[in-house]
Amino acid sequence: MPNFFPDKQPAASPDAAPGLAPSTFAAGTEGGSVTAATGLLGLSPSDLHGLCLIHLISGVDEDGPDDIADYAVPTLITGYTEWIGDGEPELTIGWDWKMTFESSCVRLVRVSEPSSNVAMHSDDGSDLGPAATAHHLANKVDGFNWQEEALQYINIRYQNQ
Amino acid sequence: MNVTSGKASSLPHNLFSAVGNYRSKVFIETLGWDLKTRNGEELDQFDRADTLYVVSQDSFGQVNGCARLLPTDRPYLLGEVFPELMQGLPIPCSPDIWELSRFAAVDFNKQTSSALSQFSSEVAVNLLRESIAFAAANGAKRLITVSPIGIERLLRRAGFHCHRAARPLIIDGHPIFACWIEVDANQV
Repeated sequence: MPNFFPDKQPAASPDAAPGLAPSTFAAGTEGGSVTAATGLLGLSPSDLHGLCLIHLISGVDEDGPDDIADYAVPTLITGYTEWIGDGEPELTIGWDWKMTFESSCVRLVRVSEPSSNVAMHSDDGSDLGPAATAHHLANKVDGFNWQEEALQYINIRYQNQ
Repeated sequence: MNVTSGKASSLPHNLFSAVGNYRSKVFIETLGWDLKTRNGEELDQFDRADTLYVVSQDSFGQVNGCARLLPTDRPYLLGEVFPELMQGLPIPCSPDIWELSRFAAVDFNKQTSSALSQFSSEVAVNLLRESIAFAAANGAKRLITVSPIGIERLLRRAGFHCHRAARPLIIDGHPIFACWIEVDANQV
């Protein structure tokens, strides 16, 4: 989508009035809570391990690779995929992929660190930091077959285009 | 790149009008959004006397980027129009949380392949840094913005510390999300 911070405004929601943010906000009983200070969902490795990821949407980058020269013809198909966790509060995670062709098979390969609303902590609650969080999330993504569902979704989504 | 910041009333003569025209060209003519105009200028209910603007101009004085900053303890876009993007989490409402909206860095004097790739341009990154710094100078500790999900990738690639507030919603077939941008980590 060729825009950056879209303020495309639908009809105002009748319940759009902003409420007062509480000084703390923690919710959820299935392994995780959102902290008011950061808005991040805190999860331990075991919390993350126990979550199933549910596919939300996948798509092809419509602008092509960012660094392609104006005169070049893009031959690399890239895109994104978005998933959510099955717990509450909800984990949201997404990553970029590229399409490869190997042995007459189309495959999707993850090419970015997952982006999420997660901050990992140890079982005793100490913050594991961004690098460990990225590592755990990458392992989570690489540990299940997301490619099949994402590819199937993309095939259906773009079949008439 | 020349950057000017302030309320509409404090911007140099005719600059605010030029911003309205630029926004109309970007958001209505280029992106096709169904937005209202006044005398050819794209303005909405969030363009108030207390709204802050950051404007980038090229060496000829032509506007080539703009941003709008609103404190979240006053009416703002996410709170009024897109509250569902918070997915039940508290809607930000604090003088130290500001919303970045109407961000554009399209240089109409340059041919580019897309508006999205323009975001990674030097003008766009500088404009975003200036916007964050100006928001911080006015009390912001964090920014929140409504964006297509692809912006997260570009923000991170440009070195900004950001993360999603909640899952994206699919609007017109595209994932849109609320994105936190940390001010302290990005201080200039």
